[in-house]
This record gives sequence, structure tokens and C-alpha cells, in this order.
Amino acid sequence: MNAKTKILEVNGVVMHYRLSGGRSVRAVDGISFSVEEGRTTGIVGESGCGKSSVAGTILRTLPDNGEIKSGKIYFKHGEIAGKSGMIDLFSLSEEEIQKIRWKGISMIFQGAMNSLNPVRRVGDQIIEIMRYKDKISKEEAQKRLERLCNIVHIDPKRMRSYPHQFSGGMKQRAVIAMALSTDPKLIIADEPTTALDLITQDRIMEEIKEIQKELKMSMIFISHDLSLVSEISDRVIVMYAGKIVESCDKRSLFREAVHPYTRGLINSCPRIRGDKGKLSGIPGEPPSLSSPPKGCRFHPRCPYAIAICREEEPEYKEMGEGHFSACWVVSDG
Amino acid sequence: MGRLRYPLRRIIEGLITLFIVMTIIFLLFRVMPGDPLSIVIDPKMTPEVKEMIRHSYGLDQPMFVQYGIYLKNLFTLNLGESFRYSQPVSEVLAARIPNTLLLFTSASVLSAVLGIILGRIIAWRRNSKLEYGLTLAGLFFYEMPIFWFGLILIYLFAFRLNLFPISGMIDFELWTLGATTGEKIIDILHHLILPLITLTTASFCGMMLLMRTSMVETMKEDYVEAAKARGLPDKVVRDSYAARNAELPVITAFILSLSASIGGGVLTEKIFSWPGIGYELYQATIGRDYPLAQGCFFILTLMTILAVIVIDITYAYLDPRVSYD
Repeated sequence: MNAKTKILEVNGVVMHYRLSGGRSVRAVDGISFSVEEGRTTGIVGESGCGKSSVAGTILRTLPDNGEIKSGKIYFKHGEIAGKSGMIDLFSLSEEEIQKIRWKGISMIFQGAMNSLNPVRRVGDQIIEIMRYKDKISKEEAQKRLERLCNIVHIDPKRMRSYPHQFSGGMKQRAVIAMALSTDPKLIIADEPTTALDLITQDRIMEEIKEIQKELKMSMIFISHDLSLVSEISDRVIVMYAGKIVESCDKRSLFREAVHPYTRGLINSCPRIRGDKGKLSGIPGEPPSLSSPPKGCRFHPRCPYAIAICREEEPEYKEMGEGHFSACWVVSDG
Repeated sequence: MGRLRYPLRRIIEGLITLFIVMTIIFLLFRVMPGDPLSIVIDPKMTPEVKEMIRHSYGLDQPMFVQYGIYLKNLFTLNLGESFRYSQPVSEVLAARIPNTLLLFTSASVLSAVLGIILGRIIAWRRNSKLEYGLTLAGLFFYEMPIFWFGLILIYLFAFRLNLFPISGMIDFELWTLGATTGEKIIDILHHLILPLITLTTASFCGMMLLMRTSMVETMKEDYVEAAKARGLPDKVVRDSYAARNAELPVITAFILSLSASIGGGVLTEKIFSWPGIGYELYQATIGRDYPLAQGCFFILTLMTILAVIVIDITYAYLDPRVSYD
């Protein structure tokens, strides 16, 4: 497979949440990245940095006050509405994007605990989506459900149960099965393991990796946990306050990351191998996105901030092959 | 056995509740001022005759003996004899219950169906003109006094426009002149319309508002958002995800209103002179017809307790999270 084929291209997307009184939250502020076929792009950042809003913008599942201001998102999909090749998602009508949802792009939600309908059987909910999207018979859907159960390691008999009869890990597996059920081209996994205990989290991560390898899935993996993201992704994107501050290959991340925020994240992860180093957090709080600081948004918390950081926004520049960063200090050498 | 233990426990609890309520009702009537026999006893009667009548009604017995007889009779479902009608209470009630059920059960069912359908639509179209309009109208009709609305309808449609009869359930003249069954049914329906509209308007608005609130809450749930993101058809998300969960409290309200419907509404039945239980309860209370009033309350209490048990058992079917094992 040609690793260079892009399946999704996000280009300078700006998305605001309107607030009362004419104010707005700039949750996604000029984001560009791409996902290659069969590869995984990871997005990491603190809570509230806009990473889930990126997911919502792609699938257009934003709340009513979410407003896409500018930018383009292209997605490689079969023919839809007379268009084919890289389709401009923002140009699609609600009806057309409805066809992209779950056939083109599916999602593993944050908080799988609550994303299943409590009064309907788990299996029925998965069968329902397959039948709506793929127009297949009940028997066919049932067969596919059994295959999915094998992939996510759930006993097919348990599919007759209701969500409250499932453990947290099983619900998460069911939600993953649901995301895989219609054979989508791209999966967005938004904090898929955050609500789970560490042992279960580890097991689910192993399973996601297995699925990734077997099905050659293209994926966007979103998490606040840098070690999880780097474990599963080919490319890592670091977001801070609605912007991408750094992106690079997973292999070079720990060695070559230059942005002070990324370094801060790395230094706050405990390591097993290599030098022990000192664990340190990043002082301060992320800024409010309704009135972000002038200049570089990280400057109030940055130990290396210089005069220009307070005044002008740094440019997002290529530092090495496939390695981009937005920082005045490092780009000045 | 596990499945039967819960209903059995609830039935025993229900019987205890019934016993307590009936005791309170017994006491309430005894502390009410006035003599129940005042309508039977003529002041000109001699004391001996008065005493005889009092004895025949059992009212010369000490209170606790009366209470004992009362409990024994309730236990054997003997509701006694009405003072005013000199007829067994069960017969008086049996004649009234169908009338009340006809009016109030149809109003309950109509209200629930309309309320659930409209409540789901206006909640789904959050912040639309339709939502604002119906919510405002709903609040108005829900809060208005029902007798006032009934009187306005009578004035406009019965008195002014002469479209409907002013009161009652049947046209005696028509019935005594030997009408066919078809004509009789049409006659009853004709009498039914105004009180039915009065009742349905008020309670349907309550149902609609309840459904709307419940639905708005449910729509915030993750599983509704998730279903939308999955690209399921809008109607499927609305009906089998949002509404299916939002209906649970509305169904409770519906079953309770069904059970209350046997008691009718004192106000509505009085205004429309509808010959039902509510009207009878009013007359019995005013006339101190102890056995009849007690009988009415007995039926009411029994129905409410039954409804609560039915609600609990229905819930186990509607909401798989509820289990009584």
C-alpha cells in the first residue's frame, strides 16, 4: 500500500463556540494535519485544548453553538453527491454528511459508558446501525455481529444483554465493535480508554493495536495521555489552547521534540528505561479560550519565553523532515 | 419463586396501606359536624322512633363497635347500604362507575397519546416557534382552573351556539321515546364531547409539558449524541433513543391518571352534571351519607394502590435496569 496516500486532510480549520453576549470560545484555531491510509495520527493535549472539538468538526457532530468559521476538510470517499476523490466535507449537505457518518468515518466515543442506549440490548444497537448503513438482512447482520465479537473478544451470547449488565471494559469493547461494524475507512477514537482502570485500559489498547494491524485501519487517536498516543500512533500532533504546537513522527518524538510544551509533557511522563530523569509537571493552568493570551498562547507558562513570545504568534515551521513546530525560541536557534 | 416474591410483597404492602387509609377515612367522617340522619329523621318524630331509626342504621353503637363492624364489612367487601338511596352502596357505585370511566378513561388515554406525541416533537425542535408557542399555551391551559374552562365551553358552545347539550349524559326524552341503539350511542357521544374536551385540554397539557421536560433532559445524554453521530435517521434517534427513555416518567403519570379516573373529577362532573362517581361523592359528602362516601373512597384508594403496583411491575418491562429479584 502506498503509505503516502492521504485519507483525510484538515486544512486551516477554525471552529468557535458562540457564547451569550457575543463572546466566543476559539476551540479550534487554525488546525492543519492529515491522516495517511492505514496509519494512525495521534492528537495529544490537556483537557479543554480543543482535541475533541476537532473530532466533532470532522464528523460535524458539534453542539448547536459550534460554528465552523473557515478552513477545509477533505476526505477520501467513494462517490457521493456526484463528487469523488478527495471530498470537501464542509461542502456537503446534512443529508450527504449523514452518509459519511459511520460508512466513511466512525467514532469511538469519549465515555463509552454512556454512549449505549440503556433500554435496548447491546447487540440490537449494533445490528441496527449495520442494517441502516449497509442495508443487509437480519441474518447477515447477525453473522457479522458474531465476527465483530471475536475481534473485540466478547462472547457473542452476551450481545443479548443490556448495557448495564456489561462491565466498563465490555461496554468499551462493544463501542469499538460498533465503530468497526460498518467497515468504515477512518476511525476516530476519542479518549477510548480514559474511563477505565489501568489493567483494562492496557488490555483494550492491546486489542486496538491488534485491530489496527489486522484490518489496516486508518485512525485518529485522541488522548490527554502522551504515552498512550505515542504507543499507538505513527504521527503525533500536540495541541495547546486550540492550536497545534508541534507535530512529528512517533519515532522522533521523545528524542527530537523541541517545543517547550511538548518537552513539558514528556518530562511529566515517568519512564521505565533510559535515564530516570526528574519528573516535572508544567506549572500554571491552560488559558481561557474565550480570551487567549496575545502572542504565543503558551508564553505565560513557558520557562523560556522571550519578549517576542508575548507579542507575536510564532509561525508553524518545518524543523526537520516531517517535523513541525511553532515556537520563537527554538526557531531562532 | 423469585419472580413472584416481589408482586406478593407489594400486594401485602398495598393491603396495609388500604387498611390505614380506610381507618383515617372512618375517623374523618365521625369528626365531621352534623347528624347523618338529619335527612331521614323528621324533627316531629317522637324520641322513640328517632332512637329506632338510629338503631337500625347502627349509629347508636359506640364508635369502636362501629369501627369493628366497618372493618369486618370491608374485609368481606360489603360496603353497606346508602343512607340516601336505601340501596346497597355497591349497587349505587356499580351504576355510576361506567359513566365515570367512559369520560375519564377516554380523557386519560387521549391526553397521554397527544401529550407524548406533541411533547416529543416540541422537545426535538428545541427553540423553534412551535416549541415556544405550544409550551406557552400548554402552561396556560394546564394552570387554568378546570371549572372555569368548563363553564366557558358550556357558555360558548352549549348556551350561545347551541351545538351541544348543556348538561347530563343522556337526553331522557329521546331515550324514553324508544330510540335505537345507534341513536343512543350518538346521543351519549354528543353529551360527552364538551366534558371530554375540558378534561383532556388540562391533562394533555400536563402530559405534554412533562414529556417535553423529560425529553429535553434525555436529549443531553451521551447515547443520543452518539446515535446522531452514527448517522442514524433523525426519526430513529428521536423515537427509539430519546423518546423511548423520556417516556418512562410520563408512563407513571399516565397510569396514575388512569387510576384516578375512576374517581372522576368532582368539579367537572358537577359542572356538567355528569352522573359519575365524582358527582356522587360530592352529594354523599354534603348529605353525610357515610356508607356511600366511604364506598367511594374505598374504590379510589384501592385503584390508586393497584396503579402503583402496576407501575412498578410495568417498569421492569420498560426499563431493563429495574429488576426486582
